[in-house]
Amino acid sequence: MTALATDGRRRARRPSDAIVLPIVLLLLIIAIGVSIAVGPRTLSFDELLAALTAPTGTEADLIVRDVRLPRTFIGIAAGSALAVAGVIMQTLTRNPLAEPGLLGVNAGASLAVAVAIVVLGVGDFGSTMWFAFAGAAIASALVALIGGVGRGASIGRLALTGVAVAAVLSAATSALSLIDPASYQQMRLWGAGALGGRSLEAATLAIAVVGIGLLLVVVIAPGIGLLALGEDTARALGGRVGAVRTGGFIAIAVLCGAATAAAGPIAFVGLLVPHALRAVFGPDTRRLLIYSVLAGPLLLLFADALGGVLIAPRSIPVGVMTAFLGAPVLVALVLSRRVQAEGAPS
Amino acid sequence: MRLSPRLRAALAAAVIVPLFAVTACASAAGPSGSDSAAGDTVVVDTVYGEVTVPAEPERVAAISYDTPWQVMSFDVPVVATIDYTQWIDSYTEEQQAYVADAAKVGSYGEINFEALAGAAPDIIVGDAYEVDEATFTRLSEIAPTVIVGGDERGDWQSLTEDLATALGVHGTWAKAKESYVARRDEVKEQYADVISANTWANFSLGDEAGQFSIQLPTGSTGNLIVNEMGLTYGEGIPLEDEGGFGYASFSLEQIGTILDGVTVGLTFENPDGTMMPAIQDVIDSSLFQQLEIAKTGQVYGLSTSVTDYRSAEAWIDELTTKVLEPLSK
Repeated sequence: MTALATDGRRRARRPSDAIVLPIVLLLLIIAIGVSIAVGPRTLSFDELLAALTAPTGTEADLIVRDVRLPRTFIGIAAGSALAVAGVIMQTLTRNPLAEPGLLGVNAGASLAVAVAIVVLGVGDFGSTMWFAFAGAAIASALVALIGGVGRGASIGRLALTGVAVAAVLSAATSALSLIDPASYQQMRLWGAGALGGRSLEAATLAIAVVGIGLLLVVVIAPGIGLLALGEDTARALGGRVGAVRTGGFIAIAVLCGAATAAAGPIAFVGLLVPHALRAVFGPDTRRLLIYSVLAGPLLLLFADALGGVLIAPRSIPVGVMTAFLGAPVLVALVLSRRVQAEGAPS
Repeated sequence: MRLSPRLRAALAAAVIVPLFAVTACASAAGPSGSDSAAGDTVVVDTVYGEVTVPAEPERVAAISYDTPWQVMSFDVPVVATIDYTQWIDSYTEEQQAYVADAAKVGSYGEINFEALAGAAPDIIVGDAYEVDEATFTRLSEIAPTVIVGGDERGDWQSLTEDLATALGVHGTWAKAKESYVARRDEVKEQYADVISANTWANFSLGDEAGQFSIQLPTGSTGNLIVNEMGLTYGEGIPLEDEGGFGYASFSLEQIGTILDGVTVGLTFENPDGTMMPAIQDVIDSSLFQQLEIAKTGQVYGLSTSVTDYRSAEAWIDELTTKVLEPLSK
């Protein structure tokens, strides 16, 4: 879809929100419905309805309320968090490869959770989440310090620094998880990146914390939109660059920390979703942020459902599924001329 | 289609083992351990073909996960094993003492060939589920290598017999089997009523959070429970081992269907009596708590790990003490 602009260049004609938003919302509602309605144990519509509206403690009620609803909530929370964090990271660093998984943020959160489980014996979501926040923040700062400042700062350097830091942190997590067999089992189940195994209370808490992170994003969104034009332009237009960067940094730590504590390390959501949306909507940061909140869960719930049927009766963890889907996109991005030439999301 | 090493090994085992079960016995019947002089050799069939081994090996390296405990059941010392340090607390004191002085030659699934060569074994033993043909070839450059397969991963009866044959200790193996069979039959007879009056399941943690697993008859413990002890699994338990892992992992939402009608649940616990957190999570889940076994409290943790006739007998003793005896009252 292109149109000829007044300067003679062809410009992409972007689809209207009036058309796309209902479609995306409908798809998300369908994904949520499938996530709750479909599972290894077949439930009738009446059973589903009763479980959601008037539970009486039947097996169907327990399946819906203690297995499927938490799983769906975790998918919504982690999907939104990682996708929005991806948009913010790509905008703040002006690096199209920036993504919580690639830049070591998830690995930092994972190591912190491992420390909580193995060293301190803390295993519940409410406690590990705080460690995940701290880990995500420290890893972000470390990658930014090493790879994002100075004369040699570049897309490649930041990405390589992120990969290196992630590798070191992941190795440390593995080493830590091997110290104690009991903790290893716990880490093994959590470390693959999966939506299941959380209580409804933990899943609700994850939704709430991600909601707080998203509120922060709403506050700084205008500033992020300005930053996407470049720091000088943002300043010239009255943007508070330092405050927006700090706010963005905190939002990334909260969003990635909550997502990782809830679902384990899940990579590529923050890469796949922003780039797919950018292909549809162009560089409009406001629209990217809004649609990331919806498209992130859509991707994660879709990947989870796909992982449940591909090798049934066994299942593939959602973290593995997103890696399958995201790796080709990463390769395509790295090879694309646009990334090499421009180096930043436009 | 190119087969994976594991599949090739499994297929090779399925084809070759029935053959070498006969020929290996013939080998053992030849120069037996007690009669042969030091320096003698015998030829044994293995998953990867015939191998010439010392008739009386003195320096045994056991490099698969369960193999040291199988060799231990023959009262044969080992000079090298993989590193069990990270798991050591989950083993008995006897097992810990057995591997304490052995050289650590790598970790599970990753053999340190240099360290293994440094241990100077005169025979290397392992199983085909962890040692593929390429690894076997490298190991054979260090010392004669015997890789056994059995009919499936949990076929500890055949695995130990083939190992015993290769190590020249078939007599010790036969005595352990004889003792085991006597104890098994005694317990089955004494507690026949309890065994037949109940429906059983052995469950554990699953592959992912939010899952649980069932030990299948193709796995070590499942084999002992179902095939040897004749404990009847619940009708809802799928017994097909599609992955060949000896267990199957399911979503927790299936636990009501799969354990429907089960009256006694067995699971694993640590030697100190504690339960692994991931297993405890399964037990604590609301769906497990609405099962009959949870309501009656008939869920029992057993700590003995089954790898051979001796440990199988110990498992039966533990089952008797912790489960059958109390249920008979």
